Amino acid sequence: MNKKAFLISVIVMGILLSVQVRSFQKVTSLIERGDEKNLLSELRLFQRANEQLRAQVQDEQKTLEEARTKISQESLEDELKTLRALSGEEAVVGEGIEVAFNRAVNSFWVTDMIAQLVSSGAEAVSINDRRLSDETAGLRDVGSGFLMRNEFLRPPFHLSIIGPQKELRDAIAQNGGIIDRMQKAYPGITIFVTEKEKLYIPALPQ
Amino acid sequence: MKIRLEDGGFILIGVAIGIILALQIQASPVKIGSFPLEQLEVKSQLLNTFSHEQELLKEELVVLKGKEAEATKIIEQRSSPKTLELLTRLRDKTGFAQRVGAGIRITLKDNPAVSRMDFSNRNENFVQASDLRDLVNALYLQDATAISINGNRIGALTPIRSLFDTIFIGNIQITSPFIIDVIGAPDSLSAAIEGARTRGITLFVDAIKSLTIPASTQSRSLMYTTIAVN
Repeated sequence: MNKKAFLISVIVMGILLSVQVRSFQKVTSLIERGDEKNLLSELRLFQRANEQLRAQVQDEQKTLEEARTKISQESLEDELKTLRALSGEEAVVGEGIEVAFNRAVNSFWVTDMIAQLVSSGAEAVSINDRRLSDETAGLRDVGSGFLMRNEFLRPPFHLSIIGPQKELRDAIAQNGGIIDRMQKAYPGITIFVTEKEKLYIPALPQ
Repeated sequence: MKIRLEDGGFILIGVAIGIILALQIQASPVKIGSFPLEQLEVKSQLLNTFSHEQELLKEELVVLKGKEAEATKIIEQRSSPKTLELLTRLRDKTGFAQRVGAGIRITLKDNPAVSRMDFSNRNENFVQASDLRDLVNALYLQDATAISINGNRIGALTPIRSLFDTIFIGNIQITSPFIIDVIGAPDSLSAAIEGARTRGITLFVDAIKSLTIPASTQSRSLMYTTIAVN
């Protein structure tokens, strides 16, 4: 009877232990991914989101005014030009930053980094010269590289991001930022962030 | 000295308790609930102000978009069919046109055991921004052709981030439950949700024959990007 009771206790402890370890793994993953935030920085982010919305309202007012006053063709030409640049059908240039790292990491680091860069004004992004668009989005870890939708990308990796250089750099390279956390998660990884006056992102193959 | 089975059991239990305690001690503390009352009050007031301000801005945007659509329609009527065709194709490609098609609706909710009042971005029972980012990534890998979250169109360059206990899609604040509409092949899209199932959150999936995903309302002005000249 005593032997049975001990066996049951040991099994229960084993189950508890494994549940505890799994729970820690999940929480650790959330802690690893989450950036350090405080009350002020979060309030500032909310305020900035509203500022950007207000700028968008002003933009739309301007567009509406132009649509009413400009010659019809001229107005459509402006929209076509912007849509062509956004679509990935044309190669684009502009100032921005380049992020280079020498080994594969879990793909969530790349999607998290892109989300932070876009929040800070990134307008066009490419990974190893493959433009990120609705048709190429989707990253999966495969062996020593990434599958970007249907194309395999090998290390070393470089992300080209067109947008405001300083804001983009600050968004990822600050103390405790995503680069710090990647370096903590992957000891020995080399990550370079370089500001560029002119970056070129090729068009997507048609 | 002879060791009995009972002793062995005690030792095992002792070791297990020791390991659990060590893991518990090593864990990073969850930083919640330590603000002084005054700070919490100011936070709450500011959040209300910002949320109210955002609602007004969103309403203003909707009105402007409507007026803009009317003006554009008049201009389009005077344009050549070729220009119009190009415009329609590019708007569709960049997410600035509504799409209709078969797909799935995914509903993500926090674990019923927790309340958003006690939100922590380090608690796996709450839907986090990273859950939505991972899900969108997985949906793209399953060839999703259009995605929206709580009625907001998502593109490859739409940032999804967390702020306090809410999530922002671009500059728009959304709250739980999170409803993700996706156009694509329902069977393959359903495979994308497997990753989210491992978390402590609640997830429902429904196949829908005809879904309407709205056009993006994000700003499309480019300040730094220009088309490269050959």
